[in-house]
Amino acid sequence: MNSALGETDRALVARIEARDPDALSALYDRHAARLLGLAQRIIGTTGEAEEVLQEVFLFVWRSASTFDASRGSVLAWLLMATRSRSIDRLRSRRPAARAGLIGVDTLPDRADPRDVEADSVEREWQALCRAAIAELPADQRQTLELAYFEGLTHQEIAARMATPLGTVKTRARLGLMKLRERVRPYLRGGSDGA
Amino acid sequence: MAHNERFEELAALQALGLSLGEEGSDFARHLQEGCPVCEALLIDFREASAALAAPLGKITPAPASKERLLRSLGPVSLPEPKRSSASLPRRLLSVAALFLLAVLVSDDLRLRRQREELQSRAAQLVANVESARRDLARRDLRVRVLASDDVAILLLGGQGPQPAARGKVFWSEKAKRGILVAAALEPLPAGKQYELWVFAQGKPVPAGVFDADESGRALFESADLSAVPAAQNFAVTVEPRGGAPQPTGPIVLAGKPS
Repeated sequence: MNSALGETDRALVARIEARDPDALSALYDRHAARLLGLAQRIIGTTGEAEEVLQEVFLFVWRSASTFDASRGSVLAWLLMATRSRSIDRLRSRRPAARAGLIGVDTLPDRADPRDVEADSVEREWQALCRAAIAELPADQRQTLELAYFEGLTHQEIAARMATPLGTVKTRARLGLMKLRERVRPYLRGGSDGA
Repeated sequence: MAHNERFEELAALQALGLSLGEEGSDFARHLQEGCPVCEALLIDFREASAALAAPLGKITPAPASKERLLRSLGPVSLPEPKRSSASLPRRLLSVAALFLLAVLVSDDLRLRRQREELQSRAAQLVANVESARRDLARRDLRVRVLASDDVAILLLGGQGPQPAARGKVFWSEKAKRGILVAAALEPLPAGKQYELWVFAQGKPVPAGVFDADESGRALFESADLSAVPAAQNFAVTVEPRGGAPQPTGPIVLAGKPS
């Protein structure tokens, strides 16, 4: 297991493709807490979020060969898999919520403070992203958050924000371009590593 | 189709995971025809989208989750051998040998495929059983609290910004759990959640975060509060999504044991 510590995410995915469960375990240790944070943010309850986490890593185990390094980093791939499954759950729950039915779930566990303190690079990355998001104009930030965390279509976003559809598209493009400019130097420094 | 700003917008929507609808086929064709600008934008936009999730807190999964995941993988089959870079005649020979082998062991391959399919189904069933087990545990817990002979009903009244809100907490001192039923809660902005607090020895202890539904109702089961010596009061505040270790937002529900 320790041999995985210095390996890049891509190397771990290659080992997973070769059916190495230790590599899956290492990738889980590296990213599960972040993915669970995202799933819990979208779904709102930890019980279902943990189910999503299971689904994502089973998907990685079965479909590691579908990862295409030319389309982005392993982390972006994992986050997108987590986001899409979380949004699916959110959408399937919406009719129940309209009918007044509420799922009851266990509490989210608190993040292990050691995780936060352990990685100064991670903290630096979080601070950079937080600042980059905060610097976005409010309408662009809201557009990106409604799309990413609430899974609204651009038509739904337009209706929610009482804005023409074309404006929503423009805001999404401009917002992502600004975020890209802020985070790109960091990513080029090699975020796909350990 | 020449590159233009519209395709950049579609790249942004796709990177955010949104359906492009009828425009999707246009964009797919544009990419197939080869547009280095859009290809690069898609990659960068995906990474930028991932940055949206970066500031979120990490939540350490329960150790049992990882064990369950690794158990559900089932028996691990050996990797397919890598192709060698042998010379052409040797490769042809290898291909012929492989073909012959494939014919001879076709039944065996079919059985292996069936086995893999069964393993995959079994893994899915294990996941379903785990999900059902969690649901059942939650229902058991609710029954245990509600049927407990020491269950107390605590009425909560609306406070501060939400005077119309109301709620009840069914609290069992033996189970050290509470079930909150609330109504007339107002919708919260993105990034905010309601947090339940139990007061013990005059201090608030976090008991979990929850969302209200579109009609303002919520049914929420507290965390295990075994560490709380004796519950004196309950309150609900508005906190940043994910909760806070101490109350920071306005109190919207509060009460005392009846």
